[in-house]
Amino acid sequence: MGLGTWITFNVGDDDELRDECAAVMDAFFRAGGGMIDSSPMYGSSQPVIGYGLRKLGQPKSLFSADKVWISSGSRGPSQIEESRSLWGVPRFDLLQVHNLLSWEEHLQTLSAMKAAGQLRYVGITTSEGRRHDLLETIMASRPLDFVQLTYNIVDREVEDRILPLAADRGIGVIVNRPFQQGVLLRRLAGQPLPRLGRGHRRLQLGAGRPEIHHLPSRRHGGHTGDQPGRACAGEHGRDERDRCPTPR
Amino acid sequence: MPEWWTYSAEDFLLFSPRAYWRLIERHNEALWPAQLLTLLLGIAILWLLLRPRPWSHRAVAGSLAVLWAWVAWSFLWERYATINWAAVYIAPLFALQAVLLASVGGRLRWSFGRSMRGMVGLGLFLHALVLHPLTGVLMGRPMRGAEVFGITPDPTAIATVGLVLLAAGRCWWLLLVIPLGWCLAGWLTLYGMGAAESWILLAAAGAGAALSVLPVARRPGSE
Repeated sequence: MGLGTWITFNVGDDDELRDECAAVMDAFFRAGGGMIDSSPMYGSSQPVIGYGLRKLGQPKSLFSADKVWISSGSRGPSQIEESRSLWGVPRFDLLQVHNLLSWEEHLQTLSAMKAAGQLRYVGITTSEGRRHDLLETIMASRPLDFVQLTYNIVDREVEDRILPLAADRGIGVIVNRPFQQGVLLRRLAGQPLPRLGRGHRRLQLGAGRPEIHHLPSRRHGGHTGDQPGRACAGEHGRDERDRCPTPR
Repeated sequence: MPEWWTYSAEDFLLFSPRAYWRLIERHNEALWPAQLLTLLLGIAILWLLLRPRPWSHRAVAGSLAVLWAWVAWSFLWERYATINWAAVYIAPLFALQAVLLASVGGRLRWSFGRSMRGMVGLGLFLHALVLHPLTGVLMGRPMRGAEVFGITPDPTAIATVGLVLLAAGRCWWLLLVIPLGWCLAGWLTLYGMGAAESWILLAAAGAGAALSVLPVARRPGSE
């Protein structure tokens, strides 16, 4: 499980809300969490993360994941440096090309940073099912450590080609919008909890609700290694897919 | 932006409703009691619309210009930009509106005339001045989060749309473009947050655009 910062951490210079975000980070780390993911696109989320990390004394379990999001390839390095400064970390663990924006130029930059030891992992992102054809092309042709994409119980297009390709190439998968930004949870608000377990092959959630077919009947323990998301990469069968949701 | 048609209003919302409404509250707290001054200025503008003087047209345009410049700097640049990076691109447009009001607006005749356009224009201005600050309270938010004319962009834009409908002279329509654009942007923002008052902004924009094609009724002796 990772901690996403889209919208929720964009609280500007509001001290009360910044302290609330820091409290969320504190609970996240105490529960064994590691990966925090952000982007320059997320408003003040990066400085708010930096505020929380300073307040919590730079937790050692942090896996810092951010993105480069700028149309100019030549301005990528300066944006990355600004992001790093806002987080207050010596280097990022993972940098991703946000929504495939100027991906060729930025992948060159990120690969060079990785080769120079300034970055551990390189990735690319998309969301809400956009540009999967291009995503697949890049995954097949470039050395990537991670891809980030939308995957949840309703949005399952990636099961057909993207997840198998990730497994074949050894690419970690980070899942965003695991609950469609809360929409899926709001749909279920007020509904009784289902009886999940062996032998449940079909779950009717009510009139007008989505049906879930072939509910997992067995669960394997996935391996996680030292990289968040690897649980999805190694074993991408249906039984494993709900094990690695990470907000974008 | 590729596949732009696949995006919805919610996709462009960078912040939570709570962060936004608290931003308004903190802005009000930081500027208090400037709200009283802008409301008094609004009442003075209303008086000058109903009892125009030879000098009042420049006074109305100048007052509006100052308020747009003030909102551009104090709200968009200093406050809103902390949660919405797009605000730094919008603030110059508000500054441009201030320049247009001071230049083009200073040569217009700002007065109330009895016509459909005049009545709606006055209605929009009165809404922005009196009713709009109360909409948040009606929606269950505290009074300290009231959006006040001359302090936050929404009532300022609605008021300006109404006032421009009352203005007569050359190139008056230039003063309508940015306020209408803000009303549409504000509608999208509030709609994305699920706020019912979003429709007020859309209604104001629709009324402003529709009635701008009607002729302005002149008060006898107003020119």
